[in-house]
Amino acid sequence: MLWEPVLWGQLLIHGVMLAGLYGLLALGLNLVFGVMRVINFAHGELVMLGAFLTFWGYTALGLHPLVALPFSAAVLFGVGWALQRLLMERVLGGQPMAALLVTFGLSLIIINVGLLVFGADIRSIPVVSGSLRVAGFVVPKARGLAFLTAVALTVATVAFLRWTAFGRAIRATAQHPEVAITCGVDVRRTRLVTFGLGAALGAAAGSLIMLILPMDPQSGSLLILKAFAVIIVGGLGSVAGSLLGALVLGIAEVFGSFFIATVFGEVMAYVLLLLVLLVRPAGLLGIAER
Amino acid sequence: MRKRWYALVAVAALAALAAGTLSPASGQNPIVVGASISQTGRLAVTATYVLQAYQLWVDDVNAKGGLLGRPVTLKVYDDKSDPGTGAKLYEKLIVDDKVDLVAGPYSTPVSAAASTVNEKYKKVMVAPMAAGDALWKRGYRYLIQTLTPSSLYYIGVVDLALERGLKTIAFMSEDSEALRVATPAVADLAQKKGLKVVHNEYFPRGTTDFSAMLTRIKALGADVLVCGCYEPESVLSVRQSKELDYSPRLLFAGHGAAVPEFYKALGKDAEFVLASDHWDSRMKTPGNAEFVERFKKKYGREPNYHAAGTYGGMQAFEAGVRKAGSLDQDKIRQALGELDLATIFGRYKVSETGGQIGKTSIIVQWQGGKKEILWPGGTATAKAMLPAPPWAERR
Repeated sequence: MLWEPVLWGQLLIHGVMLAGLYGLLALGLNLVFGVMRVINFAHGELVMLGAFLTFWGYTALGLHPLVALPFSAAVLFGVGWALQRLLMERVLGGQPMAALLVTFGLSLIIINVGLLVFGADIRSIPVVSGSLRVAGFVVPKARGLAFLTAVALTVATVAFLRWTAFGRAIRATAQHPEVAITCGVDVRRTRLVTFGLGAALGAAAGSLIMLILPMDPQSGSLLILKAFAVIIVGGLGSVAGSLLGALVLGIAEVFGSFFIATVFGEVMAYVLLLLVLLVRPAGLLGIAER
Repeated sequence: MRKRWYALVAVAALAALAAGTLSPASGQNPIVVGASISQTGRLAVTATYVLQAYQLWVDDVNAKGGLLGRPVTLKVYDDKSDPGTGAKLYEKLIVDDKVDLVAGPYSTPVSAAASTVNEKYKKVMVAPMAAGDALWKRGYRYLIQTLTPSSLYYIGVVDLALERGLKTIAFMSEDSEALRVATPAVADLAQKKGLKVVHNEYFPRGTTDFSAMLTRIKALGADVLVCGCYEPESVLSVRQSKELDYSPRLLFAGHGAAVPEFYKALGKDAEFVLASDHWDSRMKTPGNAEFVERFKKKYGREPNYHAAGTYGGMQAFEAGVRKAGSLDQDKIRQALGELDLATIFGRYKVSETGGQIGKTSIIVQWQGGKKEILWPGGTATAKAMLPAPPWAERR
């Protein structure tokens, strides 16, 4: 049973599907890190907010999660912008620890307000269930959708950063804020937009996760642990790297779970993390620390 | 203002009169039952059910003429959902207030902390909301369990599978203390009764992907899938079974599949799924329907298993005291050890340690958006819709 090629192919598909989930979670987190050099501990909570907005849209307005996705992304863009304007701006450039602590505190506040407002019950949206049959393999619909979205958003983000004027401003800010200022880049505005984009990407992840996993207000913080491993493996600050890291982790987890034990699948994240830190500390596609 | 004052006095006088006529024992020195309940803090919402069940039990006992010919009153403190505070409050109840009987708090951690105090003072505590078999492996004598023990969570599944002639069974369980007891117990029983266990694996809490494990179980072709799960994993195991087009003929998804949120999260895919539950308002245990009626009338809401379990626990406590015929704690402990009783919550019987061995979970199935009781047979509300149709044949 263990050595059938069909089975291996099927496991590979499951690994790629899982990578879609991880890639979505890591994308916004990594973008914010790339520009601000801040690990946003509240990113999981932004994902959760996006997920619950989508859930609300589905139950109260009957919106399909894919229709709700751009709306929850837009709302969270505003939330991200506001957080940067009111909180992050004040601590960036000072002690790195201060920014970390602010995001950590933010995470605790959002979780507990979430518990008060939404309750601790699990929520999920029962649409897009089941799978497609492709050449004898099963391809889960919801996870497949998440994977395609992860690829599309990653490509779009890379293209935006590379070929638009604003994207170049973001990259300039990421590389050297002082020089960017002297070249006429509005660093402050760039950071506002980046944090907003990071939150919007998190919300997009949340909308799709509602189709895949049951969520409660505390789920975001558990999910995001994997995203940290993904961006370290893929390369801190590298947008394409987060998708690559997600693929490596997703496939490793599924094969580890199948051939060793499910418990081992969960260990994979840390094994990969250690390996990468030992062999290639900047990550697979990482940018070297300046 | 003055009018309202008169009305209050009149109501109070009437109430006193009514109480006087209803409970002939009221003139005597009351038996005081002491407990700490989490009235504030994170456990407070559920704990109100426990407190309300205690109060209902006190009303019912007094309506019957009290206990040992004396009326019963309740003395309750707020432990703020904190085990340390709970332990101090039990010390206060026993040493300062000198209560006659001690009933348990809500939640296992607070019960565990309180039990050390009760053990010190040799005071029997019926702890209706204490789970976790470990509490009864410490050599304590005065702690009595009435909640379903982990080892009897899932055993009904075996009978249901055998009735339909199913042959093979696979287990996937969360790696938790309770399920490390529940799963081997049902796997042993399955094996003894002739089902073949083809897979048995534990997963860490918060697992987000079962595709590898379910691919393996599907390849093994297990007829029965038992997921030892709480809410998130109950939903995920069913959703991924469908994604993988794995159609077990009996899919059981644990305690987590018995909550309404499970059905809401899965919609029609929740149909035919089996779950386990501690209690149901339709269970045909003696006095259950009347309990539900009285609870609703008094509090204006449906009782849950916390309320029913507490009330059932107190029924056992009451029977123990009556059997002992005194408030002597050792006599009560002995009587509680010998009792074999049918409460509204189910069977009560404890082992030497005071751990519960009589109460089992019920097994339910989602049929047409509603939970129907399948097992035990005597309390069933519907026939099992098994084997479940394959995913591909469902609309």
